[in-house]
Amino acid sequence: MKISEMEREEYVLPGNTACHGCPSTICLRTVLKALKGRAILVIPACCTSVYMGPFPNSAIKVPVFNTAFASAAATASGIKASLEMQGDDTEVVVWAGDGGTYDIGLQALSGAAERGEDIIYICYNNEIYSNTGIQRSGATPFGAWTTTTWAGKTEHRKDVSEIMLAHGIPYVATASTGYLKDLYEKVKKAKEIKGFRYIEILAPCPPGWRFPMDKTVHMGKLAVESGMWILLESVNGRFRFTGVSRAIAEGKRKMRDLEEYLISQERFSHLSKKEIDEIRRYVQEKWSRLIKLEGEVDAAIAKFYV
Amino acid sequence: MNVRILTGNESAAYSAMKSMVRVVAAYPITPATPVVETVAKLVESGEMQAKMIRVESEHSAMAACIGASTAGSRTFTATSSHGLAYMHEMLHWATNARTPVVMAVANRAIGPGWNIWADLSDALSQRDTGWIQLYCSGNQEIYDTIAMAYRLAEDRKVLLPAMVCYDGFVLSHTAMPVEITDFEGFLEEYNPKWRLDADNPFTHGNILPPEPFAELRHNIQKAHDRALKIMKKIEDEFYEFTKRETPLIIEEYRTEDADIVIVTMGAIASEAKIAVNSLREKKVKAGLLRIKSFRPFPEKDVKNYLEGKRVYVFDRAISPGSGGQLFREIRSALAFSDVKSVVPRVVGIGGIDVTKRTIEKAIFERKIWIKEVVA
Amino acid sequence: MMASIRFHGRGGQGAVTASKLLAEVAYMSGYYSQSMPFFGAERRGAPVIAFTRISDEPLFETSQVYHPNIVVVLDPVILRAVDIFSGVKEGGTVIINTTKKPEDFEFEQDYLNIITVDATGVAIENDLLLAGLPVVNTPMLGPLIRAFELLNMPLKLELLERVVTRKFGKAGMKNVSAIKQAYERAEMKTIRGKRKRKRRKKEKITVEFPISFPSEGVAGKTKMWRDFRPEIDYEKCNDCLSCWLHCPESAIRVNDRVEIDYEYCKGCLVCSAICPKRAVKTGREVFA
Repeated sequence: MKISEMEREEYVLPGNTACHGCPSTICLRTVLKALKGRAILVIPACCTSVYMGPFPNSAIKVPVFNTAFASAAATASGIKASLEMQGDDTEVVVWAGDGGTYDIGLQALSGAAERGEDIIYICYNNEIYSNTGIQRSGATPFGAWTTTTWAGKTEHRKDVSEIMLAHGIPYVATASTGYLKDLYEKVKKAKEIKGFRYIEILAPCPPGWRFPMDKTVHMGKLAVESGMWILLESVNGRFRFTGVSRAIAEGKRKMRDLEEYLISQERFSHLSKKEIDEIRRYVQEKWSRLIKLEGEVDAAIAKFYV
Repeated sequence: MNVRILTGNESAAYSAMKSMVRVVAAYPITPATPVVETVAKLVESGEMQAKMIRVESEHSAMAACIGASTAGSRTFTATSSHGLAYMHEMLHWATNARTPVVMAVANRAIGPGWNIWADLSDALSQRDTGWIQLYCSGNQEIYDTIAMAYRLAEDRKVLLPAMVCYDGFVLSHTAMPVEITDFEGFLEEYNPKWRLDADNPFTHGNILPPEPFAELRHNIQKAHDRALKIMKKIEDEFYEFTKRETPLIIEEYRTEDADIVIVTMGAIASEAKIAVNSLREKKVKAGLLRIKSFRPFPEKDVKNYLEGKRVYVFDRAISPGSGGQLFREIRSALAFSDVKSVVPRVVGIGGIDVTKRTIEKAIFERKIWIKEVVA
Repeated sequence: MMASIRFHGRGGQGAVTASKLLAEVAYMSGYYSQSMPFFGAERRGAPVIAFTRISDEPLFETSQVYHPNIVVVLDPVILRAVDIFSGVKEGGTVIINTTKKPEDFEFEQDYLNIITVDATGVAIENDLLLAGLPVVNTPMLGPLIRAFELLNMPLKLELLERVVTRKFGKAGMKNVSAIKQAYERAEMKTIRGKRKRKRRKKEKITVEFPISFPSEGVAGKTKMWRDFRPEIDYEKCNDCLSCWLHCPESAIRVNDRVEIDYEYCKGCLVCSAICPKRAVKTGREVFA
């Protein structure tokens, strides 16, 4: 797909209150373009609930229902049920941050996925509670500085996309702010599938991760190229790597050094060699686990890992 | 006439069906579970044309109801005790979102220790959430009140959520004859003022700065004020439709010539009627004022009926540090009237059985009064 | 005697920090003091305000300041969006970070003391930069000491230096020299107000439902937030639309060619960073 073939209409309007270089606005724009604006958005407490602006105006040009932090997936289930009863087939889409997905909203998310609700759940994961000012979440990677882990987080992050795979839902995908065409395609694909669909987007946050505001997209690419973030997709249980991650898995492309990714963000600037090695070990383990899961790709880890 | 022997819980479920509810999201909890089970059965058998979401928690149940309501469906749920407490955040949400969700609440104590029996503490702890609160004292009343609650909640001058409360086990599991009326004609399909619609995009519930927020809250208070008037109208229309006198605001029993008036809510009010009769046989002119609508609180009615009386308030709940919630409300309503005195009594906590003897005994305990009123 | 101070800045410029530092200095100088931020819904770059109260008697006020004796404006761009003179007491002092002269400003009051200082210049000279942006909140405290001299509530410059050094550690010295320079360079004049007084009507709000409708500019014209300005070099541009696709602000329009909407562009420069042809040039935005 060429960029010129993408939807031109804007659904996230200019003059909103998002920070400079916000990954969430970049991705929400792309998602709503892929849906051609035919969606009802459910948004729990997150940056988006703020950057859409205050009453009586809103920067989002599709119907939006703001809901409480823990209840995005449940609210969306209710809206979908109502639409079904009225014979309205508008797509219901949750747009939630990682706090509302990984932590406080996980129960509602899991419940809705298990019930097979016909909704798309999109998590824009900036690996922190950024709306409240950079606190650690279940998605924050090991070693990262936040205002509740001043010396760096001491635990690795969990991975909700893998948890969603375990739910056996018809569509799970990960995407990154670095690859918007890929995101656009994945949302379009999800739209064609019925049932519970989960997409998680890595959203590098300039003030939260401490990198220059113009590097948002660059950081989204670097995360994938260094293997720290893995692009994948599972359609009806058929799991595969996509994009750059696929090239890496197939041994067609060398991973960039993880350190390149880490040193470009101030939140990791305090890491020792040992801590960097710990992250390396975590990434390596994750890759081997996923490669096993894919099964089809038999490239040995040593072959592609630098 | 279609009369069936139904428990309070079944009455609630049947009324939801006859009220043309289209989305139900609920989670089991003793003693409200049978509502959820009955609805599930009615939906699965096709008798009830609704979608049922078997959510994973009460918090999600209310969230789903709010969502379904904003998308344009009449919604229903039921819960109790810890479930209601878990919903707390979403109860506020439903009010400020102005979604007319109706919920059946089988009143039960909140632990620990685990106590599954009747106690109004669960619903009374939610009195500041902005919900309309109606306390029933019989199964036919539960059946009627749910339909009336939809009329009230969905009235464009009100647009507030409403909970229909009844004592756990005492009513929820007691079976009585209930007339199953079709509400078609009294109620119509839900026709909201606005709904989430891809053709007319708007954002619901984004940031509301201090002044507009205060304005929204003020409008909610005004809606409660209007609700009291609209309740009277609904009572009349309901009588026209069913020939049943089901109160929404208060129920008065032999208060006119009474010297002592018992004030209470829920199932105790039913038992209190017998106590009133028995007291009268013993030459104590007693009467009963049952508060059905705790929110909005019918202050004027309370004043009218209790002026010049000796008042005994029975609470099946307590706000530790303050006393019975109903007692506090009644006393503040009577602050500037020439009421003789208002006496509190907290009874039936954690499901202790409240009999007519309990009530009579309490009144005879106040010997000064008895001396005054029994000439 | 009580003095109240209002700080105007943009999110991230440290208006709140300045207000706190001032309260600390005042306390150390023997006054009662209070610092109060006002939190809006905006993010970095949007106009923000903070208040400080200083008094020789205990302070009980918990409300915001509506009639300040002193106003401090950290960023000249603010003047385009906010009426910084609003409610300032007659004979009060307004300190503005600007390259303009005191007589260049108009207001409704009869007389105000206007202090102007190029704090941005001072910050750059002293290498007081954070993520490439000049830090102006501490330098602006220098001229603020002057305003207190006018009020007969002297605050000691040495105490300010001590507070700043304690707060910023090693970087404290840079701050101290910037404060001193700004104090010396500040230009002060008593100016007569020329603008006519306007009556402001309060709009009646009705909010039955918390419902909002889609609109551009929910945060106003966000060009105000711009410190850098991207410019498309159409000689190099090959219409690949990458900048349009990646713009976080939807501020790039596709007409016959891609065009930047300078009313809303916040100047994040993502377009410049991702342009495969390096056709988006960047430069400092100069508004004032």
